[in-house]
Amino acid sequence: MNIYKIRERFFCLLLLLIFMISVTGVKAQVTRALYFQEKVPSSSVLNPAYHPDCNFYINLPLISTLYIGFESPFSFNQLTSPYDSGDSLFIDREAVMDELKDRNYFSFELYNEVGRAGFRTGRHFFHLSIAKVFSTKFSFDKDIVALFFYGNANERFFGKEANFSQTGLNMTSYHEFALGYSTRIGEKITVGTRLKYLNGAFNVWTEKADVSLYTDANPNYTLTAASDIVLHTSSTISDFDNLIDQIEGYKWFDLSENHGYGFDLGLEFDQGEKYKLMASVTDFGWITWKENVKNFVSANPGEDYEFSGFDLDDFISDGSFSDSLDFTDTLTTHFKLLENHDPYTSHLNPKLYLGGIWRITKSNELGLMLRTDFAEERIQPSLTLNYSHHFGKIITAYGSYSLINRNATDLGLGIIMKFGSFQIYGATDIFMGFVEPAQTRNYNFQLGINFIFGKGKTNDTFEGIEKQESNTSEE
Amino acid sequence: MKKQTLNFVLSLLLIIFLLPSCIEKELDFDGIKSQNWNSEWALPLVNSSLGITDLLNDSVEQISEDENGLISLVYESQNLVSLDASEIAEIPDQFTEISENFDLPDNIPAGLEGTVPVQFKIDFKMDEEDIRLDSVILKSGTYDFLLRTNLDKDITGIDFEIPNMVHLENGETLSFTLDVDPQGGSEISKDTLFNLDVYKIIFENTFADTNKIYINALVHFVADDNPPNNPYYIILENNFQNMDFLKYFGYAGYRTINFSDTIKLNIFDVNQEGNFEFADGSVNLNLNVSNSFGMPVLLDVSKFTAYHGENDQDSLEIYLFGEGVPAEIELNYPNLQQIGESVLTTVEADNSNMNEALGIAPNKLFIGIDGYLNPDQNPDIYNFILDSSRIRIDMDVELRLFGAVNSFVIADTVDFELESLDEIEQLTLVTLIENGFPINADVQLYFVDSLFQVTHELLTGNERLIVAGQVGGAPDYRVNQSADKLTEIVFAAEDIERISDARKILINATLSTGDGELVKIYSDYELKVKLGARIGLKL
Repeated sequence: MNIYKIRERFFCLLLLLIFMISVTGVKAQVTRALYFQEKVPSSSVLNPAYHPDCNFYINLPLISTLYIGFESPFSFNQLTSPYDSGDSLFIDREAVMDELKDRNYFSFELYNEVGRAGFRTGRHFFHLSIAKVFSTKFSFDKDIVALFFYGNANERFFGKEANFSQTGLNMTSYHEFALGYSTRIGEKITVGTRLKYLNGAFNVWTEKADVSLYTDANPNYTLTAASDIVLHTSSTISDFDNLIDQIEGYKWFDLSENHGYGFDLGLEFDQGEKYKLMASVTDFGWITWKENVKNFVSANPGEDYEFSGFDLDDFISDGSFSDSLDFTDTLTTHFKLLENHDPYTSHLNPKLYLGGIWRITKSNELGLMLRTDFAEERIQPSLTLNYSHHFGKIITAYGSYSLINRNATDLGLGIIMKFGSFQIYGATDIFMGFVEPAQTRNYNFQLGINFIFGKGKTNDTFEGIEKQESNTSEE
Repeated sequence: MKKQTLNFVLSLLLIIFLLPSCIEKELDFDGIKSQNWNSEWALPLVNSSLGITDLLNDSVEQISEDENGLISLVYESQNLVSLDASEIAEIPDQFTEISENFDLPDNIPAGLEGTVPVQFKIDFKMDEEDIRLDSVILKSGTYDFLLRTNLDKDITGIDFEIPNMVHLENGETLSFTLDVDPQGGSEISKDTLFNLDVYKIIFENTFADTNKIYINALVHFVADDNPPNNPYYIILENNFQNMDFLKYFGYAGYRTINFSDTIKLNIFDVNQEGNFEFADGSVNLNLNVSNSFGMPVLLDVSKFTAYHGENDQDSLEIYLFGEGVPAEIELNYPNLQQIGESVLTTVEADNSNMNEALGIAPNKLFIGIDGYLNPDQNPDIYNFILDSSRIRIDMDVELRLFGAVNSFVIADTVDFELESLDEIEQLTLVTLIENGFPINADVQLYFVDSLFQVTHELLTGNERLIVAGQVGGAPDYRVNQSADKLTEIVFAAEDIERISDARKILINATLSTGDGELVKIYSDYELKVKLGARIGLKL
């Protein structure tokens, strides 16, 4: 059995393994299929080992790379159903509940490269990029939706404890200053890294939000609740009264004292004619938040608060039923959040990419990539199968099929066009989001413009460089 | 190739520009009008543990318990009747003008001094003929003394002495001298004023003539060459005003005074039918009279009636000492050694029919008393009155909660108003009542509008919401096992709509003990009320 056969079987085994993994929601900063488009400079965000197909590139502020992604646990059509009259919709709770898993989330991602440039020198390629990153994710338990839909007297909660420990808001915005470096090792291997300085703009991090509610099935339906909340914020946003105004007035380009660091590592093995294997880990890093920090911690973490009804004296006084019954004092005291201003550290969510490309012909490529997000103590894999076709040297079009967020019908499309030094590309992992938005849970797209100069070096060129370097060392 | 590429790019741009409007049309968030389902919520409403104090708090002035914890309700009328000294005895203002004529001797040589005594008598007029003042010590009052005379001799003065007015500190009688300066034959007047708060007035009394004081005058004159212009006169105007006594001794006379008062028994205010049947010895009527008047007093309870109902439709006369026995109470009174003290008279009403009276569930007791001072009309009995003297009658009715309750129906009204019931499609109230009291309660609530038209009845018929605890035997009759009762009350959507029109709730409850059995209410009994609601909401 020759080496190619072994690799071919390994590749098939890898494919099979990846398909067997169930898929849950993930976050992204770049469309997945871009992992197979090394010629686009921004693909080095996914694998820092990539060498763009040029000697020098630059993109310009405002017309640089923009990625926007939104993910939801259900589609609009799953959320709603039409009334029999057909003239309006109602929220279809059964359909929504069918779609929800124990843990769900809405997320919104924005990755805007303010500027990027890179150049090659010999076997080395250097990248420099500045990006604004904004991500927000609201996680919630299925139970909390069920509670709203069905109420606590429903059999799901009646006489049972409902836990909402996976509910929380995480929102962060930071500037990313990255220095990328990759180099060829030998004939077929490329390694690379991106070192990142991160400057935090604002952050909301729900470190812990364990909330429970028990409804006693016996009269008089005593409610027992407990909370253990640790919430961190770092923001110039002072309150929630005029949140929109404050966000709009945010000074997005101001740097702060919230410093952070991160790095990515990448590896590429290019067999040459038929195969290429890639692996990378990205977004190892952290930010220490120091500016305008407010931490909120439960005053009575985990302690039960039991409400079994009002005293009759509260109910009837002076011959009348009371207009209002106030137990908010004890409630707010028990569930009070203590505030402190200690600095805290939040971590980026690392991602592991494993992929390969099968060069079927000179113009046709098939690729497969497994991406695993390590977020909030959970592993969230996703899978992308990609087919690329090169229409000459000007246009590359590609289609992808992804399993993202339990949605098995995510067909993506992308196109890369190069007119001289002008490269423009657009892509989405979920094309159905544009065609049938009501049936789609996830939406994303990416647009970018680069100016590319020079022809990238082929393997033959690198072989010459290696020989030249080995001769120099022998001398 | 170039043309194909251009077409491809143009098509792509067209798609990109058209996409947003397609997406907006697809995601019709404005088309979501409402939800097509209900959620059901369970909420605790009431969790109360009520003792007898909580249950009767508004209707009883005092709750007491004996050493075994047996509860007694005490309805007190402190100061049922109070009679102060000022209401019995007072000394009215006195104005008397008295005159005496006298002659000056004409045989005294010119230039020599002579004197002539003249005596006056003041008669104090009291409100009643039989009142006799022996002595009084005044704490306020004035005595305005005015002299008028026609004396025409030089260097004439008149010494006055009132032996019946004695200074409290030095014991001396009131004496003073008025100088009279003749004005050529015309009338001369002189006056002086005395504060009476330093004097004790001791009156002259005989069998036929009482309440008198005397003034002794001694007229000084110097004879001259002219003969006396006899007869001369002296007129005294005596004006006693604003006399308040500190102590009063004598005989206050025979007097009658009427008192009346009402004791509210709020516990029966809300009763409409039925009764409490108190066991023998469970109702005590206590009448205590304290008296610091130094005189005989007789109280005659002329009317003592129990009334039931807002319009007194039922009533029953109460007798204190047995049917047909006059309800006369002869009060003890202090003797001279006990002056300033109150002497207590306790009335034993063991033969009263109070038990029977409470059988009509009276919400008030009316008592009317005729009081007689010196009822024997014997002036030989020496009376004294201090300004602080008073007669005070305290009455309390003590109900020991030992007996039976026979279909005792109570009714009450509470204001009621609920808002925003549109979202409620169904409501189920669940009560769990653990009753440690030996009394059943059948309850009905009527929701009525502002015109008291019933919009909804809470239950179908009177339902027993509260079941009596199990009672042990004599002599304790104590509940040895409480009783639980779970009741579900379902309001359909149309019921809720009717309730939303209600403005008041009429509460009707029938209390009873099992088959009229005797029970006792102890202080450790509790009624545990749990009320929860299951609400079907359509948001």
